[in-house]
Amino acid sequence: MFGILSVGGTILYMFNMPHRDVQGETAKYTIEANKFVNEFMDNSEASNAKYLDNVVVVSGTVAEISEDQLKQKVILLKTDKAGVNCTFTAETNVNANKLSAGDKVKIKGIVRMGASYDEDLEEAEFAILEKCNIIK
Amino acid sequence: MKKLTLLLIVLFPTLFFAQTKYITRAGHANLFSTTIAEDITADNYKVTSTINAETGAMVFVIPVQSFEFKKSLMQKHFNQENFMNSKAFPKIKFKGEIKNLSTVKWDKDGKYPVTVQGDLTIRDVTKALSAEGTISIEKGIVTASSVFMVKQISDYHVGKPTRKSKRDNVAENIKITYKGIYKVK
Repeated sequence: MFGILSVGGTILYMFNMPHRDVQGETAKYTIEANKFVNEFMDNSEASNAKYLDNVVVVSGTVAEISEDQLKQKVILLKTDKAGVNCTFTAETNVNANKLSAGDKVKIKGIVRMGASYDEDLEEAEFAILEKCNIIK
Repeated sequence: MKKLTLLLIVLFPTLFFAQTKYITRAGHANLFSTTIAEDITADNYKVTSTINAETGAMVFVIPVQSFEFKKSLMQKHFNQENFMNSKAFPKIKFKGEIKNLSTVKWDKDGKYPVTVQGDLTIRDVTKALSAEGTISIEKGIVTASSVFMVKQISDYHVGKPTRKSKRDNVAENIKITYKGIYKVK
């Protein structure tokens, strides 16, 4: 009986497993935006293995503030070769709203994609951070 | 006067030639899989895409890990090695061209139906893909949208759940809905 209950409980937990609490996690790496982008540009394979799906804090200068189709704020940290696009959430948008271009900022988020140059786009792909918030 | 015109063209080419390239870094793609067992849907708001109005070239780069599922367990399964293996293959790419480019009047407001043909690459496997879509121009803002099917996902080595009872929960053909709002590059 207990066995059935615990298996059932585990299945129920797995099924309703909460999403990752990115802001609640300790950042695995803290890095400056330029260095972050350059690491990907120099060795995408190693950087993908190192950074993808991990929580990081990236520091840099705000170049542009925009909004996506979900009304989430997107802060672009400009770098020499590409950029770091940091998407905030409904809960953290309010903090992104306080920023203006030129501000120095530290942003914590989860890495979804690295930066690279794409010959088909004829553009740099920016590194992508999501579930972002500003770190004091 | 001729010399002056020439000088102006050299100095300010954008005054004389229409800007021809559009870009978005925040396109929205939704995927939808339906079987008797369940419906699965996920959203991605981080599609990078360019349109070249002169050549008709359209390129899309979709970060696999940016697909958000309602259930986190599903998101985990989607990214894991035997399915999308997103750590090894972090991007989906489509490279194609607008076949009926001459029907799109880029400088005139309107909705223009387009056929886009090209190559879709998932997990390093490239297959031909054709999609019907719409280019909308409104006050200079270019919006591209489309609903299309990616057929036979197992051909892209996208694995199915290994447990027999779950195997048929993922459809073979996945419906994609896309909308991107572009700005002049």
